[in-house]
Amino acid sequence: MYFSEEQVSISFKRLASRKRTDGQKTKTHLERTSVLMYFLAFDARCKGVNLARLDMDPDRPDGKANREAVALEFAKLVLLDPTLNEIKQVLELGKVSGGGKGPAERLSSNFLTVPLKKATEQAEPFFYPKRPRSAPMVRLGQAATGLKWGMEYHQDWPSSLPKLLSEVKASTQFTDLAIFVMRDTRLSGADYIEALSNAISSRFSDQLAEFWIEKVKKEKLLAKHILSSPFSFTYQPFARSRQIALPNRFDDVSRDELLGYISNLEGILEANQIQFKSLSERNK
Amino acid sequence: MTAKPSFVLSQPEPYVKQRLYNGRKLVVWEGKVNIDSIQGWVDNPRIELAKKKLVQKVGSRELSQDEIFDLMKNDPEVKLKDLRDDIIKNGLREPLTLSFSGKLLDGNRRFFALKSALETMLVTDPNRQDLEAVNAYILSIDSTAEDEQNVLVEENFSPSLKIEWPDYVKAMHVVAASDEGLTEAEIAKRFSWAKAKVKETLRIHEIISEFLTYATSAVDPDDESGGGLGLSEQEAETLASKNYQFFNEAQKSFFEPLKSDFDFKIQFFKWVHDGKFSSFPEVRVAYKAWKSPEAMAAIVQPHPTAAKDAKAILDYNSRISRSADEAIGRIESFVAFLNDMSAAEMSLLPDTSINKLEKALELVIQMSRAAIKNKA
Repeated sequence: MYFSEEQVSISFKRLASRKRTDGQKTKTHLERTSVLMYFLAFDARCKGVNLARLDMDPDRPDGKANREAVALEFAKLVLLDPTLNEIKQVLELGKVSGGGKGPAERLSSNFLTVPLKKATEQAEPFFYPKRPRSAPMVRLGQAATGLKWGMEYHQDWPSSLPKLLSEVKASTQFTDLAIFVMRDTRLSGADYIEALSNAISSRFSDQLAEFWIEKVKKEKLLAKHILSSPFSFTYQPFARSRQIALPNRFDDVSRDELLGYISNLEGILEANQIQFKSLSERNK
Repeated sequence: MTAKPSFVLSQPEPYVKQRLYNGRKLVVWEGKVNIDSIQGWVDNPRIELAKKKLVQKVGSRELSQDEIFDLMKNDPEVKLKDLRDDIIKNGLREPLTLSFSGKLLDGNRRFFALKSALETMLVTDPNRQDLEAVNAYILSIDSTAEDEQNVLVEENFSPSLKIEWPDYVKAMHVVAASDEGLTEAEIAKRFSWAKAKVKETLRIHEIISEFLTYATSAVDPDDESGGGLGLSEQEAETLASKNYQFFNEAQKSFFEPLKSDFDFKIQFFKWVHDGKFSSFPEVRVAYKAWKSPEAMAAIVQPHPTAAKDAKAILDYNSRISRSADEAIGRIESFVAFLNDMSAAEMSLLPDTSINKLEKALELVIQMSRAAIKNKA
C-alpha cells in the first residue's frame, strides 16, 4: 500500500511557508528546504553505509560514490516528475516547481561546490548552514571532521531541525514532511503512524528515525487533516502528469493491428502467469 | 409651517421632522447644505489647549475660521486625517446639526474633515460634489438656547453606544480576506488597518487555529500529553476569543518557539485553558519559565498566583548581580537550607535531585580545591 495522492497533496500543501510575500521574493523557505533535503539525503546515505561521517572527496573512489549516492537520495526526495521535457521538482516545500536545474546539478552547484568546498579551505570548524543562525545541521571540512572533504552530523541537529521547519504554516510539520518524503514508498502498518514509523526506520539512520517518529507521534494530537483512509492499494504518483489515452486512439488502427496488440498483451499476461480469459474464449 | 432656513438648498427639497435630543423632542429641517455656508465652531472645547497656545502667540483676539482649521489639522488628538480619509471613502455617514442661524452645533470634526477632504480632492474629481453639499439637521426658528444646549450635550457628552467588534471577530474577517487570496496590502486597504497590524493578526490567528485544533481534540489518557481538551468548537472559540490578547502577547514574545517546540506549544495551550495568566507580563515570560526548571516548578502549581510566582523567580534571577557579596549570601542561605534538612526529608527527594546535588557538590569541591591551589 502507498499514501494516496490526495493525502500526499494535502500534506505537501501544508508544508508551504506561512510568510506571505506580497509579490516580494523571499528565499528563506527555499534555502531551508534545500538544507533540509541535503541533510536527509546525507542521513539516508549514512544509513546505507552504516557510517556517521562521509568522505565527499571528488578525487577518491569512496568520495565519488558518496557524492553519487547523496545526489541520488536528494533526487528521490525532490524530484516529482522526470518524464517531461521540463522536469517537475520541489525547490521549496509546499510548491511544485517546473524547469530549472535538475536535482544533481542543484546539489552540485549549491552545496558540493560552495559550502562543502569552502569548508576544505577553513582552518576553523565549519558548520552548515549559516542561516538560520544557531541552527547548524552538519559539520564540514578538515577542522570540523578530521577529513578535508568530510561531512558529519552536528551535535545540535536535533534542536536545529525544528528551526528549519519553523516557517512551515501547518502545526504538524514532521508528519507532513514524512508523508511527502514517503510519497513513493511501499508501506506497511495498521495506521499512518505505524506506516510512517516503519518507512522512516528503514530509510533513515536510527537517531534521525527515533527523533522523527517521536515528533510524528506527538503531532497526532493536531493531525486532524489525516484522511480516515490515507492509503491507496495502488501506487498513485504525486504531481506527475498522466498520459491520458484518448477514446478515439484506435480509430486509425486496422483490425489486424488490433488483434496483434491483443495477442501481445495476452502473451505478457501468460509470461507473468496472470490468470485471464482470452478474447477467443470470451467469444465462445 | 415653520420658516425655512435661508442657507438650506432647495434640491432635494428639505422637510420638517421631529428628532429627540437628550430626551427632548425638537423640530428640525432635514436637507442639504453647502459646506461654504457653514461656520466651524470656534469655541470647540476639543481644541482648547491648542487654541490657548495659539492665542499666546498671536495675542488675545478672536481666531479666524482658517486658524481654527489649521489647529484642527495639526492637533494629533483630533485625528482629522483619519476622519478625512473615511469621508473620502464612505462619504458623510452622519448629518451635521446646525442652529437656525447656521451655527454648527454638532459635527465640528466632520465639518473640518470635509473641508480637508475638499482641499485634497481634484476639482475634476466626480465625487467632489457629494462633499460640497452635505446632509444636515437644522433646528427650527422656534428653538431656544436651551434646545441648542441639549444638542451639544447629547452629541458631545453622552457616551457613544457604539461598541467595536471583539478583536477575535475582527481577526476572523481579516483571516477570511486572506483565505480569499488577498495580499496583506490589499487586506490593509480593505479594513483601513496598517499592514503591520494585518500581519500581526494573521500570526495570532495561526496560533489560535492550532489552539482550536488542540482544544477540540478528545481527551486521551493513553496519549503522552493526555490528548486534547475535549471542548466543543463553540467552547474552544469562546475561550480563544476571551484570551485573544494573551495570544497576541504570545505572538509578540515567543512566536518562533511556539512553532518549533511542540511540547511547549501544548503546555502553553494548557496554561491558557487553565486560566494560568492574569496579566500580559505573566504571558510574556511563559517561554522563559518553560526553560527554567525553577520557574517551571512554580508555574505548574495549581494555585492562582502560580504564573505570578514564576515571573517573580525569573525577575529575581535576572536581577542578580554576580558579585562576591551576592555569591556569599546565596551560599550561606543554601548551606543553611541544607543543614536544616533532615535525612528523612532527604529520602523524600527524587533520585534525579539527589544525583544533581551530588554532582554539583563534587564540582564545587574540585573547583574550590583548584582555586585554593591557584591562590597558593
